[in-house]
Amino acid sequence: MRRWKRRLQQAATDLLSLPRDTMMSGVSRLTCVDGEQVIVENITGLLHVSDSRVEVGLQDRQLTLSGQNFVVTLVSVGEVHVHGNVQQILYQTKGGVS
Amino acid sequence: MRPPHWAIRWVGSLRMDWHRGDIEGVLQDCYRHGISLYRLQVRGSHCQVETLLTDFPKVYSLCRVHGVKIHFIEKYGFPFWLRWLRKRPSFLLGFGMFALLLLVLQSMIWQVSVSGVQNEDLKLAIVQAAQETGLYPGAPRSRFANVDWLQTALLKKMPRLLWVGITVDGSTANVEAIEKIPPSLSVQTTPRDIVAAKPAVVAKVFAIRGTAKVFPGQIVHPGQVLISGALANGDQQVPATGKVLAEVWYTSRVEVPLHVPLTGLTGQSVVRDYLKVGNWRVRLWGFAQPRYAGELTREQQSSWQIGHWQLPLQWEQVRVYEVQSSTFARSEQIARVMALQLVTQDVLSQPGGEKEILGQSVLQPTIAHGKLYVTVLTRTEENIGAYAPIHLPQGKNSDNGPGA
Repeated sequence: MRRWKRRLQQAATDLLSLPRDTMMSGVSRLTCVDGEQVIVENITGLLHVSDSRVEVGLQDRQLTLSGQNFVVTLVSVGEVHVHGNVQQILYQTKGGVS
Repeated sequence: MRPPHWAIRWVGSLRMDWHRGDIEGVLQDCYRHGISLYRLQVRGSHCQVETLLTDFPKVYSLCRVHGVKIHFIEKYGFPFWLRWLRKRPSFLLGFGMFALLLLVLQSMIWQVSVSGVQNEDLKLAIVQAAQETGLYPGAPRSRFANVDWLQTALLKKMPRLLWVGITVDGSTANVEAIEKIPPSLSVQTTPRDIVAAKPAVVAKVFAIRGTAKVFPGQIVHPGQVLISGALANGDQQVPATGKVLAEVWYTSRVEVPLHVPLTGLTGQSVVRDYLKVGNWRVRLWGFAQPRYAGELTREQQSSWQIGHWQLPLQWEQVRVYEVQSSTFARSEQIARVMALQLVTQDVLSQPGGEKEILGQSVLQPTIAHGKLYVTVLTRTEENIGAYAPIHLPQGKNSDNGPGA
């Protein structure tokens, strides 16, 4: 049932040529402004925070931001705002990470 | 990003420093419990983070679970301000007093003004009457929600007034009053005569009441009855009323100088500055010694003071102006015109009411000692009547008889 619904959503999105996050729930969105401010929406968890690395859990992936002077300006439900000097944005498929 | 403004204001927020223990675990648990964290900054084993005050109990228990030590850095918002206030009751008291004072002061009448009346005494009387009826600076404003009773009371107190309107606008009250127009002067009832006040030649007699005793062209002397209040040989007496216009002569002697000494400033001046210490004066600036024929000095002293105490040390500036004297010569013709003007002014300022100048003649103009001496004869027409008690016509009746 859920798979069927998801496929229907996928089909509708493709048909209407819409960005995926408008129709489908749980799709993450990353906004990066000038390499200094990163907003990630629809996250599932905050995995790691340090000065130079922020790891965010997504639905089926993991996002790693690398850089310097990271300050997480907001952690809220499904949303994280990071301020700092971003050098690398890395998506990894979930392997051994819980 | 800081927590939203309203949240800091009302809910309050806390900034703290976590260290030791499993910080990562706390962060993940916070996320799982839906707790918003703000300005999260990790530096080695320390983590600075801000959270809303309402979320803090959960955060605290999570920290306990993961063995994280909390050190508070800053507190923001209304709840903390309230606690601060509770520690300082005097501040709260002051605020309360201020509010109370404001409430008390705004519920009072502060100013009572009177309009519509020109007479200052009447204004004062109205203010006084208003005070007695209850409208005065300091009276409670609530009393004047309805001002009808006050207007009635004020009218009753001030019979001189025709109408009183009171408007209370904020903390000022305005009393608008209209004064009764005073009744016309009471008719004179005491019998009297009109007599001549000065020697003159009668020109016109307007007798409104009484019998005219003189006729135009007649020469009258001071004290002579002009209009008599006695009718029918003194059987009936009335207050004589009327006007007697007569030609009066004034002789004036005037002297007008033909040479007038004038002194004037030439515009040249020097300045000297002095420092005054007590009674000592030391010249500091301005050593020029001009050779002026005449001079005029003006001193200007500073008034340096501390509070009301005048300092013994003062600055004085003296300015010496050059004065030149000259003589201004008048022609005889101008001097004559001036003499006439002087005489006119003099005659018009003599007692006896309005005068009309009929003519002036200059007599005996002589020039001596640099002056013009003239005698001016001025003829005026004026009312020469003056009131006097009735003079019963007995012996003198025959003198004035023909005029009657």
